[in-house]
Amino acid sequence: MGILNLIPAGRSLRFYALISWVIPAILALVSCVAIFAVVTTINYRNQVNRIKDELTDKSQIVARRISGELLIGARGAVGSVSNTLKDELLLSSVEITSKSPACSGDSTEGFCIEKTTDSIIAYRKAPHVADLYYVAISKAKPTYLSYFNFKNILFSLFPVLIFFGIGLLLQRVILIRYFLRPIQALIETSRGDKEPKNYWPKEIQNISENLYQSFKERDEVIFSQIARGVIHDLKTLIHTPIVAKDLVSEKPDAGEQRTKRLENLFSTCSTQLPKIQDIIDNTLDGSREIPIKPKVSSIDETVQSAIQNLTSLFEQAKTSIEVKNEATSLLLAHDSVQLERVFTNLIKNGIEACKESDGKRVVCVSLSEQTKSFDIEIEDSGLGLNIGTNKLFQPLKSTKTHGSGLGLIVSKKIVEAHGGTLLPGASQRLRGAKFTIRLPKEHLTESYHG
Amino acid sequence: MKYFFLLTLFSVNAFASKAITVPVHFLEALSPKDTTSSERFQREYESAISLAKKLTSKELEKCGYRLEEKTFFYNASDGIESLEKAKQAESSGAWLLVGPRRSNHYILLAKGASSTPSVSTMASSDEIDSLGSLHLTIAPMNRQMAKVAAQEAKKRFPKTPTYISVVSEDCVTCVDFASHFETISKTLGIKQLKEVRISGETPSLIDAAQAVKELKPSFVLLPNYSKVSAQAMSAIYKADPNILFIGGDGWGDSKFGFVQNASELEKVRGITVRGFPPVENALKEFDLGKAILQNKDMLAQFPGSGSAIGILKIIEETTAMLCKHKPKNKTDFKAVFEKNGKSNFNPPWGVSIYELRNGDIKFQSTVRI
Repeated sequence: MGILNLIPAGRSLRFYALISWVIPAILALVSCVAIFAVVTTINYRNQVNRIKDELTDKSQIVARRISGELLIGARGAVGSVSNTLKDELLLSSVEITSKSPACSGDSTEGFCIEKTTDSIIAYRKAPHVADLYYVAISKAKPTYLSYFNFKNILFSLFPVLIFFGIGLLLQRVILIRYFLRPIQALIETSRGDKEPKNYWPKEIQNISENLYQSFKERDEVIFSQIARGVIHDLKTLIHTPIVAKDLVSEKPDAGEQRTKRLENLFSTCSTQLPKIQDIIDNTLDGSREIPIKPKVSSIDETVQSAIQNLTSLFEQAKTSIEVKNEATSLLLAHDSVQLERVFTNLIKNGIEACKESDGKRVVCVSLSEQTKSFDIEIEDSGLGLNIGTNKLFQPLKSTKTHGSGLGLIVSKKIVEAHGGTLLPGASQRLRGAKFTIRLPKEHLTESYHG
Repeated sequence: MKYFFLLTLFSVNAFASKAITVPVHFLEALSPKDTTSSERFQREYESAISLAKKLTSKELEKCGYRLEEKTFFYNASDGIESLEKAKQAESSGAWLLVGPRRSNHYILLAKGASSTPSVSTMASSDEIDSLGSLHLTIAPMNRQMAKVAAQEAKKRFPKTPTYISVVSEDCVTCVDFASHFETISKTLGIKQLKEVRISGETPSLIDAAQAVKELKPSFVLLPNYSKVSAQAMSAIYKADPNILFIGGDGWGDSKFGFVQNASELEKVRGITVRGFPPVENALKEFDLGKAILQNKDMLAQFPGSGSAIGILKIIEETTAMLCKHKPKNKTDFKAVFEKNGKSNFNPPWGVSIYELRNGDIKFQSTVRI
């Protein structure tokens, strides 16, 4: 199907609809021209053969009549009979010659047909005449050009062109009404924002219905799973306020033990409450556009800020952090608050992944400058990604025991909002997971609107 | 025993006098093939042969002969066919060929069967004389008919008449007649103003009509066959409605041809000469004719064409020759014919003058020659 490679890719549906008609139309047109040429050639040859047959018959008549005149002798009217026969039999010429004709002869003895550039000549021996006389009769030969004139071609192709034009218009109307518009409206109908029209093709109506059902079911599943995940996380974290309630209900004279417990409670609250905040933020951000407010600042500072936020977590998890900075200039227009969320989320994921590993627990953050971008790689010494990278950014596909999976989705959204990419992979060095954040240098400009 | 002897004697005698078959082939052209007139001519031609055979069969039987006739019709536009048919007839052993009316066809017949005796029913051109004593005609010759026509013209226009001749140059007898007419006219003080040559079955007649309009002749000579003559009359009449046409032996008669009963020729005037008088006049001139005249039924059925009369006369003369000279085979017959043909096949009915009036061709008088 080499011809399909000639069709430009990535064009509109209307373009392909037009192509689907234009290609057969061109083929039909070429076929018509070819058929016209073949038919015309056949017609021309038939016409020449008809003239030959006609001359074969007429030469018989002329030869016999001329013979009659020759046999009468001096009183014979050869000249006048020749002229009469020329007119009566619609011939170009009638001549009598005593020379043998140049043509090699046909199947019949004493008869042959010669074709010159402009005429067909039949020679026939005059019968019963003692001396050798040949009657030569001729008719004008048709020319190829007389058949291949523009008028004839136009006349032959005119109906094709008319049908082609009408067909094109009809196809355009049909394609738009029954294909393009239904396909364009599929998303809306699938969401349930729009009802499928009853004149749509059955197949598209079915697809729309199936998509609608499928979206609905998926939404329900996602909703229930997110709700379950969030509720589960919140249930785990709600333990702290319960402890706080118990503590408050205890007698104030509990002494030093109570004070210690209060200190513990305070410490727990300072780690757990941000988590609740994170869960709420991620749940909200996973379902809405995240506004980006870029400002030119060092990306290194944003990374460092994220690491700083996680200092206590590093200590608790007994995980070390390595930072490698190979960039010379790290200034970049970015939303430091949002990107800090990304780095924090990815580093935190790295710390948690390290917990599951028996060996050395390390999270490594590397910054490097490329020609057109800054690359930030976050690697860990955990067990690596245990689900496919294509499912990694789907809700509820978390690599963690407790997690809604919304963290990675939100991170990806933030990075993409900066024009960058978030690529998951495997760390060669630490044998764990690796996430590469690639931020283009020129994508965002500083916003002065705050 | 007496009866047995008589029966035996009769049988032996009958066996001994077994009739000699005389093959006679009739060849005639039909033109045009698709007209009713042509079909009627063919029927009457065959009827004349049949009648002639019937009237002569007893006499021939007495003489020990039996005529075996074969008739061939061919397309008049393909004259060479008469040559081919004649060749076939000669090779098949025909003793006598009864040839076609048209002189050029008859000449071709004579060329095709040069050693077989033949007689034409109506050929009249001079060339017939040059074919020799084996090839004869039962019609008066052109020179005789042209003379009568010229004399009649002189009678109609006593004061230095003038004429234009319109002649089919592909018709031997027409050219022949026109030539004789011119020769005789000069001696009678008739002046030819112009001769217009035409050609084919549907010739261009513009020149002829123009010449008549400009030269205003006393009459127009049309020595052509009926179809061409009728066309010429129609064209020339429009140029001069008072013009008189004079024809040779080709306009046909009141039954056959294109001149009579043509609606556009109703007011055309003309005179023509023919080798045959009206049928009753012609029949009076020979024995078989007389026999028909005596039998009312036969007379009623007898076709009135010149060809029919010619056929009757030819069969009568052939019968006479056979009975008189008793040839035993074709060679004998050929010798007899060569010696006596000219005296036997001599038209007895002179040249007749006919008048074209009110769209009909009517007999006027006969001139003995």
